Amino acid sequence: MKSPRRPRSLLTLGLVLGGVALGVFYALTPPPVATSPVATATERAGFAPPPSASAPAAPAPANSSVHREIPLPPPDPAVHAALGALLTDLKKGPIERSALLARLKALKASIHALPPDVAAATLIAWLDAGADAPTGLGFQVGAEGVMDESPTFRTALLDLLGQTDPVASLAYSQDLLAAKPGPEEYALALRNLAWLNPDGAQTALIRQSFLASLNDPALAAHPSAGFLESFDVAVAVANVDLVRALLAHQSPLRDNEALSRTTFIALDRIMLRTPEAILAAFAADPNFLADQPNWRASLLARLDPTNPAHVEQLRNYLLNTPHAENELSYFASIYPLANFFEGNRLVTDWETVNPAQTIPERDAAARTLMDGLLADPALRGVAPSIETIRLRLNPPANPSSPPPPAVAL
Amino acid sequence: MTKTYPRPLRIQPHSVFSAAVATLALTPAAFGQIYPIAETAAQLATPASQSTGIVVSKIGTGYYRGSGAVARHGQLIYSCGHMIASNGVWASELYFLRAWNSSSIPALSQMKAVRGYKKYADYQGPAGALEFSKDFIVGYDATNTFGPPLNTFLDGATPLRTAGTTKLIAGYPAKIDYTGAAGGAFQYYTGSFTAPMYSVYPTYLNISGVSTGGGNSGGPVFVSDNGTLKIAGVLISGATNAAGVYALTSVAESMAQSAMSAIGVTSTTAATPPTPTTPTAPAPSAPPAPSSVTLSYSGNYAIPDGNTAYSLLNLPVTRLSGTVKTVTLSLNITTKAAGNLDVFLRSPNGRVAIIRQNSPTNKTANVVLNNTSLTTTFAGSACTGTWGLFMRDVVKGNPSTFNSTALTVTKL
Repeated sequence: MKSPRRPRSLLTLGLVLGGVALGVFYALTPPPVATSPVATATERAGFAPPPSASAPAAPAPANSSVHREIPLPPPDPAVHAALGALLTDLKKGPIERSALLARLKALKASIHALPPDVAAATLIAWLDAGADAPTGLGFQVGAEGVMDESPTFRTALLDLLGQTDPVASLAYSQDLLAAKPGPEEYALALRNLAWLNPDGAQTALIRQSFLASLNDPALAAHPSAGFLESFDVAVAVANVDLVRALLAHQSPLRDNEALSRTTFIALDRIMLRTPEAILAAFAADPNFLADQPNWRASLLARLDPTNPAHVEQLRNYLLNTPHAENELSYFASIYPLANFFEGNRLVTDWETVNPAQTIPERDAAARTLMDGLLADPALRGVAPSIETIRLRLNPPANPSSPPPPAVAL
Repeated sequence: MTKTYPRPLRIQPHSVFSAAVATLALTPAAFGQIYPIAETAAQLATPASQSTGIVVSKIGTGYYRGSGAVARHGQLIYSCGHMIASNGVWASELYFLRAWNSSSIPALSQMKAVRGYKKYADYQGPAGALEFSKDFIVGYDATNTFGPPLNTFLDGATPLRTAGTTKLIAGYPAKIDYTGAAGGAFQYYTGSFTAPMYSVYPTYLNISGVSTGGGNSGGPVFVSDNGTLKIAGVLISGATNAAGVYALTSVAESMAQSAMSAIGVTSTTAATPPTPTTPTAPAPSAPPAPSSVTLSYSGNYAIPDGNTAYSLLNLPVTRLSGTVKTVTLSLNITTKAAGNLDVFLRSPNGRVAIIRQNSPTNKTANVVLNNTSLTTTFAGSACTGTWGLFMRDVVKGNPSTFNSTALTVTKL
């Protein structure tokens, strides 16, 4: 592998030769699979040559808020053919798992080796054709939201599309959402939009689209893997309205274990990333999660003891919220919560689940907070719970206790 | 064990085996069955046994017991997720005590409290077919040291699936599935076995002919690596004549790394790939592995004006293995019309971060980024590989010049 020093020497050489700065990119760019037409020495080797007359971008449509639409180049014939061969083989019947994964890995490498706009064009050519076949694989989200496994040919293409030209990926994914495909494709189209939303221009569409799927009774009754994974898109763009929608949606479906569990994970991640969305819902509604008091306690156990706004909500919870039986004892047994779900997500990342402070720092702040709350006469009625928290964070040395009766797992 | 994976294992009723053993007095060897054996004092003194321990959790009002091991750092333990299974309810208490060996479980006051844990979970959970492949937790405490940490495999599935590698499972079965004998709270380990495990799902492996027992959940699954037992997985299910294992992966390593970060410590042991089974010449001594790398490039490159094809600058990260902790990018492009530019960074795995997206309404000049954080996009991904910086100028008339860039990747 080249070391970082080599490009500098190559750059120097390029400058000495009179500004063949193109040489820098040539040297640094791995040679792609040969495409047609073949790049010549005077062009930027590694890519298909640019049009003889520079291609101006199409003018922005009148209703375009931000981006220009860019015409796509022709698909790459070799990769296009390879994708077609895969589709043909998938239609014949199941392909042995390891062989299929190896083949998909090679196709991904081929896609990555293409110029991103050519890659997008190649993928979109097959997506537009509409043909599909099951892969026999699961809907498995890998690191960074890149799929480890995709259940169909089209979902595999959509996953790859998100890794190519952002402009093309964005446009195609928007159009696909409007066409209301199945939940797995819908999830990946949403993901692609969420990936390509640094300025928030896609947020409204993402929220609207997610809510549309949330309100689909068929999806809720039989939630598929893609539909459930798409809850991470909601986490990425959460606001108080979306939180309310999640709460309202799960309430009548509490017996739907899959949906219930997924909703809790989403709410927990929203509490970590965008706590104001949860807290706004809590502050405005005295019955916030009254039908799921354990959820309420679990979410509010993430209140930051160093954040004055959070401390105020903690007081509100302790003082003004009608608690269910055992709710406060459960809350006192976990606050401040130091447990986290972690895993690969379509959009959000791992780091946001860690608080800015370390756990010891947070515990120290919570101890100090509990000392203060204990001295507050208004909170006298919940003093036992506050004391429980304080003792937990300040355990006495060597307390004696008998062994607990425990079920073996 | 309360969970047995329903397929494809054939679960024998326990009473059948009890009767067979009683009337025929058959030995395990006659059945070819590997099952837990109470450790002798000498075995209990071994490093692997000294760092294997009993786990107790409290969920709601009930207490549950299982097994675990000190792994990667003295303040981390590995165990199984169903020790703290939750749907909106977290286990409120978690305890661990290494090398326990007694007829009854220890008092909580004797055990060490585990302050928190990271549980692998994705949104699809039970709806997906891979529930057991996620049955893993890393527990941690900022104050307690649980014991000497054991080394782990970065990829546990490979040695577990390999025939000929020496494997064994340790833990605290309250009852031995195969014989029905009571296990108390003694530490057991199965006899060693060399048969390969097979993948039910990529990280959920099964093996027939090896049984454990309820209470062994979360116990370490060891593979001998040049004579040293290292953790390759965690026991998560079983039946009378089979065992199910979560094989450690880079996800487990990332969880351990983020757990250490959460309590403000760094690792003291290694997560390593399997040692090759064929002898190789000793590797020359290598320089210490870095924790971050910066790739810088500078030079005037005229981005083709008014051309929809992208220019690509490859940024190969080779000497930084592990998981991304932070990513920052500096970039300097001179232009009179930044709105003509599409610029994005792609990780080796394919995740894309938009740096600039063409916009007819963007009338600003130049693109200047100074150590802009892209951590929220790339955190958790693999460091190693070729990162790609792509750029193009889609409108003719205002030429753009790439001047310099610097990509800094730090690992957990």
